[in-house]
Amino acid sequence: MNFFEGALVFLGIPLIVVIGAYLISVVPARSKARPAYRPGDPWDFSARFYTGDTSVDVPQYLTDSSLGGARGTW
Amino acid sequence: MARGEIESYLAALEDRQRRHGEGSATVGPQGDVDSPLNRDELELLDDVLIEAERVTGLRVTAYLGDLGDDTRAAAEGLLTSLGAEAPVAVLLAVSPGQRVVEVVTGGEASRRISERAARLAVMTVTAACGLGEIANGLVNGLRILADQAGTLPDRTTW
Repeated sequence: MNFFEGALVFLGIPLIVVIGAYLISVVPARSKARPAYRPGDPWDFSARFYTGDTSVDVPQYLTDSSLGGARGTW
Repeated sequence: MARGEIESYLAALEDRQRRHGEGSATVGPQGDVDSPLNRDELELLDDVLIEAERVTGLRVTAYLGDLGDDTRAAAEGLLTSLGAEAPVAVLLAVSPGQRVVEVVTGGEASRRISERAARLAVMTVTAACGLGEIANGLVNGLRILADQAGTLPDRTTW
């Protein structure tokens, strides 16, 4: 086995395996990924509700305050 | 228990079962499939939510999805769906499809987060979402809400 054949076996074959694994795993995921959201695009993801799980103390006697908040559009 | 009583009890149970979860969003792990945020964004959002709850003592929530025709009513419905914790909860609801941001604070939480503070958070979210950066908007909005609510005195050294 000369130098060229050795390089082909010990560098070429691993390279082919790595590139093959990349093509199998990354390319289909990339092609299936949705394009990034741009303002005005429709939003067809399912609704998500995120919250923490820290325990919260609810006061025993609540003041009679109404809901507050704000709203805005873009 | 008489027969009629049992039947009415069963009917009430069935009715309760049917209405279970109605008007409230699904909470908890829902997997990566069809997730609007990628893993890094979810991790950051998780950290921000937990930190916000730890320092403020409030239940901090974020909603990402459609809010229907009456966005305000839908957002308030989501907050009240938290039940006993609703008075001490704050909700940041973002509907990218409708380009609407709603901040709702519960009765007790509204004493910590004034309307002016809520508007500040809304302004931040609209600025980020106007650039298409939904995840940044959520994270920054929640951080501002937590900052405005302030740290509980006994938690400054946590």
